[in-house]
Amino acid sequence: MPQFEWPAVLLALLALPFLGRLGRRGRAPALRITGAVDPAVLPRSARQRWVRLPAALRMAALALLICALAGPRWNGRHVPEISKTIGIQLVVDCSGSMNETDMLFEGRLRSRMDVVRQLSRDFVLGNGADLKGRMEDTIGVIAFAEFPVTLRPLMLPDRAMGPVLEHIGLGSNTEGTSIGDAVAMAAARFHQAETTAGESFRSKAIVLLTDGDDNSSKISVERAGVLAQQWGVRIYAIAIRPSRQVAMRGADPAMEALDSLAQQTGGLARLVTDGYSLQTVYREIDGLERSERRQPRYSAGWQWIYALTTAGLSLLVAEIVLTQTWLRRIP
Amino acid sequence: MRALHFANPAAFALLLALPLLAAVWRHGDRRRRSALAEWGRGPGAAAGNPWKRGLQFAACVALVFALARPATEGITAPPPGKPTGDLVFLLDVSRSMLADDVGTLRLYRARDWIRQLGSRANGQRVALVAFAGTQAVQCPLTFDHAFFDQMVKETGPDTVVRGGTKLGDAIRFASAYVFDDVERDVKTMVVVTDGGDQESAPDAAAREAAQRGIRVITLGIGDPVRGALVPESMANRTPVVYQGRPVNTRLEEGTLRTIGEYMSAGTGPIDAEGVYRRLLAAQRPAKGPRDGGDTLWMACLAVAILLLAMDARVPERRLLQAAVLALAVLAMPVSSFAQRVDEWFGKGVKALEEKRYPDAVRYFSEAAMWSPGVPEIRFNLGKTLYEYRAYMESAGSFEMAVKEARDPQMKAKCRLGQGNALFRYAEESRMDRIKHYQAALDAYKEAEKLDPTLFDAEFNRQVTERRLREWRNRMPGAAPTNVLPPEADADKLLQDMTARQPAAAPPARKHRGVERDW
Repeated sequence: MPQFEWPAVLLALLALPFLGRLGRRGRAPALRITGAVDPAVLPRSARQRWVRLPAALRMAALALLICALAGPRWNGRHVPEISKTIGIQLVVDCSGSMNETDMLFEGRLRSRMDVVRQLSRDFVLGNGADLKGRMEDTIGVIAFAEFPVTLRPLMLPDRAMGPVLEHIGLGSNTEGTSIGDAVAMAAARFHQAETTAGESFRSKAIVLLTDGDDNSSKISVERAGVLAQQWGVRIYAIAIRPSRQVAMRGADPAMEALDSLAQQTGGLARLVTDGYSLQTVYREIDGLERSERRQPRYSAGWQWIYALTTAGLSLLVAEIVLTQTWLRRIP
Repeated sequence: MRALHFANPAAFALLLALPLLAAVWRHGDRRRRSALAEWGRGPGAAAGNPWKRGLQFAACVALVFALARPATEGITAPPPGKPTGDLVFLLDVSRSMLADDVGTLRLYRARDWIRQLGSRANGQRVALVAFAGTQAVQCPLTFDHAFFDQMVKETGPDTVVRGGTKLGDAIRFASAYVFDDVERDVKTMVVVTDGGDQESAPDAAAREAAQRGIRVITLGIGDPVRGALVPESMANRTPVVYQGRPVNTRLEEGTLRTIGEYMSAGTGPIDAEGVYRRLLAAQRPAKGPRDGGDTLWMACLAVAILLLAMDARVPERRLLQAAVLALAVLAMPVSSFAQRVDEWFGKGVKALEEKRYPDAVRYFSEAAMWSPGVPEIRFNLGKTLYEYRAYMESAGSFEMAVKEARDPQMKAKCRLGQGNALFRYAEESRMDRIKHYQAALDAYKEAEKLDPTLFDAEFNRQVTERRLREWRNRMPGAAPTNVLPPEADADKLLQDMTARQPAAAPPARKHRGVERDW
């Protein structure tokens, strides 16, 4: 599909019919001929049939030039300005408990990790429906259990992002839950990337998914929250607590810690019991972390501007030649 | 001044065809005249309306100019101090890289080089691909240089599954899968290898990469003459034996010279700063406008459309009305420029105060573009660039401000700023330090001459003279001297200098300058 850098210019096309009508109305008959014979019954010559061709050529030329002015791009990808992107770190708990098969999604019980993988993938790459994906944002992926591991640094999603998200949690690092370390690492990576880029992200967010309590961090959750706050990173904390667990637990200090972490950084904390509620939370975050305005720029495409301008110029020259030769009006 | 250039000057060849239009019109007039003569009318009515023809002719010329894609270069380009390129490193991890003819393993030395070069690539995205017989993306394109550095440290022969050296395959792989389609100023691939390609046509691969707009630079590592024995592995240093003889590996420069730009780093350490500045520091392309960055072609196209719309069968009696309307439309943006310049200026000052230097550069550049000849704008731009550590560009901006200024005091302040920028550049530069110190000194002297009351210029001149003496004495053959201040003191003086930077021109004054021009 063609896309345009400045689509508003195309509104000028609406003026063309008016311009054509204006031209026809202003043209007085050049010669008056006797009314002895009804011209309608006379055979029409080829020139008579084509007499409107120059005007049509002019309109076509104008239309092409207006399209060229709108900056057409074909199959171009939005070129994000890195400084205008939103940075999102997906920080996913991969501890052993995430493999428990107690999360209802798509009509069956599935492992927590499976559901997280699928919905995280939908969140980043889009699901063709309510989640459009974050292809123009800078995404990083960190998995953690006993210690955090960076699976993808902050980058624009590429073709390898899908497989990475689909294979989160396949490793030997499954003992323990180091929420504080993981959040601190994610926030530090933002800070590092901004320092080296020399620019700031439009906004920075950590999406933290965990089903446990912090038990192996070197940096406490509170300290990680302070660091995130200091570096301007919002934290969206998602606690996974399947229904059975919620019923058994009663008071939930871990949830309270996540709540305070989110509040401290201006994010939000949510408790999800199944895949559907996780999907809803992802949708909510997706809506919150959207750019208000994009500067549309597309890759490549100057050849289309050249082509349309050349075609417009050719039609204009053709019109001039025709009106001076075969379709010449007298006087 | 903003220099005008054309990205597609070949389009001007079309202008040669325009006389044909005149010939066509002449032919039409002649035929019309003879036809009218048959009808008994005078020749006066035979010629077409010259206004309409003028419009058509002008429209054709405007279209040819649009096709030539005019663009301006100059101060509106973002400062070169903040490059926006992509840098992909290809690290050879074949077994020959385990040879130790560079004082340590070639692999270790190569990793050091990459880390040193990567650490200088601020503002650039970096990526790492390990290759031997196959390739593996160790770090995709990212601003996260800490992750990149970590991955460089962890890359070794075990990173890839097949041995050998397929240079061409690695270049093709990186071109296709590691660079993305995001538009960046410069895309550069740096191959660090000891050569020994195994028939993978690296020269052709480099040409293909060049067609995609990717620069390929090769850094050769190893001893090209004596070489070294190839060990079995990092742990097992027993030489590999082939057909009863231990395998010796040399840096094969022959092949590497055919792959893009080649630099032999040999067996010693490299001057990472020099290599980075000379080869890798992403500069915006010298020519050719960036999409969306230059709109002169749009102006040409818009003028052509307007002229054609005016001519599109508009009755002669309405031509004047149409012309007035067109002029009014064209004048609308001009009348809004004054407001925009003021706005940009105000935003620039605010951004400067809030230390949002990239924004401030953008705003002042826009203001300078639309309101040339106002030294306050250039002065503030220079000040912003200085704060942004783009010292050479800052000095250039101050120089322009000097040329534009009429008031000697303003000129003196600009020279002071220029001197400070040159001084800083000299401090950070590794080459021609003395030359830049001298240039800074000249600027301070001129500032003092223009405004003897400018205390800062005198103070900074004294500091510069001291630094100049210090560096002259450090030069080979120079007599040792004890008059130099210790390094810590010099730093303290530098800090003092920073504190004595001239303040940004006050907004009220700037506004007057802007309003005067518009």
